[in-house]
Amino acid sequence: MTNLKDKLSASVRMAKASQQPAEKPATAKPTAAKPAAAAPAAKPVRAKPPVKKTPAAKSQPSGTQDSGNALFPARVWPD
Amino acid sequence: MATHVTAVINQKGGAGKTTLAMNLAAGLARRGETVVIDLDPQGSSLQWASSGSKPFPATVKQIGGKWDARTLHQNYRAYRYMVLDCPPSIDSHASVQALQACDVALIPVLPSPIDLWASLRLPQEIEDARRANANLKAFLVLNQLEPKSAISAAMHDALAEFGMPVLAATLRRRAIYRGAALEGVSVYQMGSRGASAAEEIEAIINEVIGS
Repeated sequence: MTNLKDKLSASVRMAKASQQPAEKPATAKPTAAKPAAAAPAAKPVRAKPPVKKTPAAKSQPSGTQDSGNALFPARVWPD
Repeated sequence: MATHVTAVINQKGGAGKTTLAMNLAAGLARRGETVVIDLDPQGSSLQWASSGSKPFPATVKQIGGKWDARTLHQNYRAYRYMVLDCPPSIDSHASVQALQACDVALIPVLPSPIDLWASLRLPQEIEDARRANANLKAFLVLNQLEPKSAISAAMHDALAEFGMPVLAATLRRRAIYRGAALEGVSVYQMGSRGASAAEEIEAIINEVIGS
């Protein structure tokens, strides 16, 4: 019984706490916009590193492909 | 004499707002002319009063659109008591105006964690309403209590987390409340079958009017 009382009260406290951060932005006064000059310079956009291509499956002397290094080989060749 | 206005409000649907509002109005009608204002677009109060074989003891009116507390008081000043049955939305125009128009707000809460969580915004809404309606009193009302249920017994402690007064008078889970709605009457009109429920409503009225 005591356990249930504590659980119920705790659940209400938790729900209260979880609802508070969501309500804050709605009630907070909007802050004045900073002048454009004070705004920090925008960081240069980093160029995306080139995507490494998985090496093409090597052909074995016998003409069959080696699936050893391929991430998703179409077919797994037996050893 | 100024009309005493009670708003029955909760953003949670199914908390028993209409049941409390209608039976409260029936009890108040024994003390003076009473009007129920159905602010819920679902129109359950109006439906309740219009489906009875016997006349409902209070007048029931439905209003919609834009209105304010002042015009409400003016239009219904002939009544001694007014009960506002609010829609299940605290942000609606009707609910905001109801909190500004009423002397007392009653918030029915079911013994269920889901109902408790859903009602947590109400204390803040009441505080906001007090900026325009400084004398507003608000009480939580425990509804559909089951005396042998552990969760019902745990409710008083849980409601303390709301930081709002809780009425000592409570409503038990009784089939007669649903039966009265079905017959379009109040529990006062249900004879001996409704006597225990009518006592509960009387206890609420005495506590609220005497508060």
